[in-house]
Amino acid sequence: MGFSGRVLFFVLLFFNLSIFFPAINQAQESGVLQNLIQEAHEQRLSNNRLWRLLLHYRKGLFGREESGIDDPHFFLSKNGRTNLAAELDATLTALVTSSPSVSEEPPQCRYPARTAWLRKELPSGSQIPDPPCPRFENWKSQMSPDSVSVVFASYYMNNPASMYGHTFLRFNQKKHGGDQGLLDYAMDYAAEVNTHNGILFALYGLTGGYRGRFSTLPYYMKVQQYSNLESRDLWEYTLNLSTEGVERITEHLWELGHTSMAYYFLNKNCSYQLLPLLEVGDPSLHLSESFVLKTVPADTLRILSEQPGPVSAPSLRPSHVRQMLERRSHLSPEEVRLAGKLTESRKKKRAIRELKALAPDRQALVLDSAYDLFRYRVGFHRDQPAAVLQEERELLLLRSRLEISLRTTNEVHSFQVIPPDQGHKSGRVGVGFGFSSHSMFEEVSARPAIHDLEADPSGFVSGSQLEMLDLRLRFDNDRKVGYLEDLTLLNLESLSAWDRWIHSPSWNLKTGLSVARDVDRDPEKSLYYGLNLGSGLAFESHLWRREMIYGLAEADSGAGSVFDQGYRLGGGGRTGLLLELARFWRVHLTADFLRYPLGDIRSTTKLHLIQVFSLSRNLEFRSTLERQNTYKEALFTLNLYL
Amino acid sequence: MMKRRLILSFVVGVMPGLVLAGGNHPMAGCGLGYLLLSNKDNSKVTQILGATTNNTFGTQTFGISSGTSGCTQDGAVKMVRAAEVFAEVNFDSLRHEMAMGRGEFVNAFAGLLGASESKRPALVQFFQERYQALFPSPETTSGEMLGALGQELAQHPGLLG
Repeated sequence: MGFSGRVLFFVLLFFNLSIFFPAINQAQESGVLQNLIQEAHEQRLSNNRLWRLLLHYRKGLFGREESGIDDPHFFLSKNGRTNLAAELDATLTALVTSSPSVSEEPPQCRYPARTAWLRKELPSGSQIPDPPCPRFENWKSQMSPDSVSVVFASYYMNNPASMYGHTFLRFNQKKHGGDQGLLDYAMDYAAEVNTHNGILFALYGLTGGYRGRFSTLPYYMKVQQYSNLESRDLWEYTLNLSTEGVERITEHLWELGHTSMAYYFLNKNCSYQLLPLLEVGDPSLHLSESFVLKTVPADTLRILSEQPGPVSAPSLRPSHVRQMLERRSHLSPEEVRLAGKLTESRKKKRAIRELKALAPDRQALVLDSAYDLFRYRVGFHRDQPAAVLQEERELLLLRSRLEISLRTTNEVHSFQVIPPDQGHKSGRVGVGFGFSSHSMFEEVSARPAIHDLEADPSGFVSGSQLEMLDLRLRFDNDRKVGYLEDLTLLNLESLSAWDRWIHSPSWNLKTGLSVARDVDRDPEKSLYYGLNLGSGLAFESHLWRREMIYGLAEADSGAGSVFDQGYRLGGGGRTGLLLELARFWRVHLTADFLRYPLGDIRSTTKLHLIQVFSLSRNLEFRSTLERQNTYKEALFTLNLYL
Repeated sequence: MMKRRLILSFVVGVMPGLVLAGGNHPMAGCGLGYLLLSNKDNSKVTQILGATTNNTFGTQTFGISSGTSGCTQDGAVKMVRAAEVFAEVNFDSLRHEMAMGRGEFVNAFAGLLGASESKRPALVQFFQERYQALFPSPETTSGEMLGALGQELAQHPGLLG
């Protein structure tokens, strides 16, 4: 063969081989795949708890097992949502044989948790290809948690979205320990809202009309939003998970980040979706099974605290208001007055002269409190008018010239606040009996959410009430008749103690069906639908233990056939006294004076005396004495929180 | 180590240029300050009706594997923009704590600029000493502050260490 002949020979050989080459590759691949699938079947790997957890499988209403994720793109198999084995086979197939285009992410990078687990569990797992995943690695290096905490943003009565509180995860990095914690990342699950139509907003949120998505963002953004803008306490529950578990949570979060799920405010909400993620970190945890019809954030904290092992005692990051009041408590009454004057433009010049007379460290404390008050009054939002910015600058310039850097105050001060997981559970059932001017009766009651003024306030915001769907049924012993006494849809109340610096109004809202007791008819014929709104002030004292006195101006309306003309509209006022006589004994005394000039014209006076004895955290005995015009009643109930 | 060098190069190389950056310059801000705008348009009724969605701000910007903006990628702040984003979002807290010469936000900021733990107290004190240079007027923006800070630090290279 000549030279050109040899070249031709090698060229032809090369072409022949390259025709066969992909076939050889494919044969190798399918051999590896068959091997892996066989190993998986032998080990019954699709039945493994962790595989179930990674796919978010749970028992549905009729005992059928399926994934809680309704996005078909989360699954590699057509039947992935209902068939664990099919999804496992499809995952192995994708991992071994897929050749994504340049712009696509290979399945290893889209499903890092599944991939890592399969590589570890299967004897031939190391044969699964291991392509580089730059996007995932980049994100992971930013999160790089050493441990994970569940953070609870406290109840916030002044924004309906926040009344139940909120939970999210924080990824703690050891290298940020001490004073760099703000640089950690936090993870959130929330509804992706793309309409601003009011009614649809609420409806979609309740019925799964919105998609929920996971996001990660710097922890300092959460602190700005909750501690500052909304002045809410942040409670942190750090979990003792293994390094492997924490890594798995991070990998699985990336998998969840690619998908979305239907968001349901009542049960599949922000607090619920953290639980499957934590279970992936530690499969011995059983958290999400307990939440079917409702998920109240504080209940998820309780179930975490009850697990043997994983959670340490919570730590508190106090809200801006709590910090402000704590700092103020270190000032003398004169200094407090001075701090107040520094925020009022008319009194400022004199106040500054008074300030300069103090020792530098006292000046610093007074200025710090003055700034707290100033910031509380104008708020933390960004778009402040020029006059406000100018005023802020004056205060800060004064402070900057002092060059006193006091030791960080956070470690010195202690806050005596009971953590939210220590509160009573959110659901309540009760049995009781009573007698009225008409008869003797028994009562049963049930209420899914979550707290009233007379219950033990530990773990809740004091002076707050949030009741939904309170149902009370009675049986009249004398006439042998059962009837609906009350079906309250919503009963909200917020009593904010007046403080010289904090002037929050108190308010209430109540709506639902109830029996009109001030009308002289049988209860089963006196049911009406009512709406009551109140606004006023409350004051707190500590003469004995804790006392709160309040007054609310009320507007009251009712619609029902029990009324002449079918309705009544009026108003008046309520005054009340809420006393804590012992740690386990609370008394609430109220008086309502109402006049209805429209519809069923009438005047009504209501008096209530409620006493509650807490027998344990979740058991209480309650006695209620009630009088409405000529009607009198005494009721004794035993309530269990569950 | 890589992260610190990245941030240091931003501080020394980029920040002095920010002082010249006007409003629409791409380096003048990440536009994340909007996250802290007041809810003036968010009337009570909208709030009540929105109660059932618990939507937090920034889901579009910080969605994992879907969120992108000039300064974020896949739910994380781009490393090279870390100091800029921090300064913009926490600007009011920084303006306050730099005047006080102490605080959690100013400490974290010092760390973000690359100061080692032992160097941070001196750096925080430096912010207080140069307060008026960093915040020359009530309307000083975070971009302007960073620019001024870059110039100051360029004259005191030992502070970052």
